[in-house]
Amino acid sequence: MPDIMLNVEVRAIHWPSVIRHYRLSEGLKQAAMAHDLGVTQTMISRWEAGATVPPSRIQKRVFELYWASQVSDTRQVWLDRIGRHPAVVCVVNSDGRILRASRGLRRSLDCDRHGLEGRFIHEAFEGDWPVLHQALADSGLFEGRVASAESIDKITFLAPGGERRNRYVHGLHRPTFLPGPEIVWQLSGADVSERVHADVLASLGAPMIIRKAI
Amino acid sequence: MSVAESCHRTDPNFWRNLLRRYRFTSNLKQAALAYDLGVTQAMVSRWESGAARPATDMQEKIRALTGAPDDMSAPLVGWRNHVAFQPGMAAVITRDGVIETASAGLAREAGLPRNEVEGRALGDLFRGDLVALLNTLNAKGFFDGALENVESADRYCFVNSHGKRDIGPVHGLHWPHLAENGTVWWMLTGARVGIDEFDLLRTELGGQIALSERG
Repeated sequence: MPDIMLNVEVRAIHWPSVIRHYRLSEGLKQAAMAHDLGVTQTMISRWEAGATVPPSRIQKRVFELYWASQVSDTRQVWLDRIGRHPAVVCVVNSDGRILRASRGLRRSLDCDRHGLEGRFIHEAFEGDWPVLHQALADSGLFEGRVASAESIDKITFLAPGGERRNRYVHGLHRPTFLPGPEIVWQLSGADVSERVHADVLASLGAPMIIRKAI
Repeated sequence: MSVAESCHRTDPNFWRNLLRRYRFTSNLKQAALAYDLGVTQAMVSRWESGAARPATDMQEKIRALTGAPDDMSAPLVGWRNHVAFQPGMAAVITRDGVIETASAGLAREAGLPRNEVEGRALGDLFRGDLVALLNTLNAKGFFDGALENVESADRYCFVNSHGKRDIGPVHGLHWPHLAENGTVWWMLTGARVGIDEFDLLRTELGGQIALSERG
């Protein structure tokens, strides 16, 4: 595990969104979730209403449940897999630091891991990605208020050697819940042609669509 | 294809999710919702479990009741939806080779709408390496959880009623995903690569595929 995964200033998690979104996405009633967590239904209701903040034991458990529902593997296997992923995938934290970049992304930008990992998204890129990071942060992705987002982006990669490389990328974005608890941004997508960029932009109706948690 | 555009047409869970979300957010019991729609509670239960889909005239009633617009964009939840809307090539495949979920990117490469790819057998839609890969995965115990992941360099050849369509060299990464019911699904991901990269991958992998056993 690289050190860049540590020492991050963690945003305050918005527990009402996280708990409610998890519960509804799994189709659970408050009573069923209360049973799973070993608490009363009243407690779930109070947490979802924001009347009280769940204790750390529950916070930890909710993140574990989220993780199990999305990944079903250990964090190391997940990170390793992202590093080897053939398509464009990257994991970015709330500060904008790139924690992991897939082989597909490195191939697309013609760079090695050091050209991306550890750098900030607003330092490595110009164009739509830094704007997207800001928009996701403003919408509360790192606090658990965003369910997913879709975007069609035009980016310029600023290679460590000073070279500039332009790409069109169609992206799908979601929060990933890491123990900590910490929420990171998982970007996955594909390089597209200028024509596909125009088509997707027309069908989305905007460069990005951000979907809030339920 | 955007999420909003394709949601209710191709998402098999669309009605189930819509009804549940509406009922939970309105704090209604199944019986109350059934009353409002003029059906039995058993019917609502069947819709919500995914055992049945509402008939067309009932879909209109549900839309009217829940206020869902025609292209209602449900928040994207669950790992399968995440696969379905991937801009890159991705699919969820059963051990029998049925494509349960195809990504927007795979459909784009194949030149077909997603719903014409989903539910089909891999062998009906593809020729060559991808079909061979399914057989290898089965033989190596992939669907019994023996492998952590499989990396591959394949040539995808897509077949439809108009004939063959060569997608070309693809770099793939595959892993078993343990579904809610304990079944292992094949999570396929891939990206098209150039011929030089393809040759490099074949050298690196020592052939068409490299298997990593579970550590």
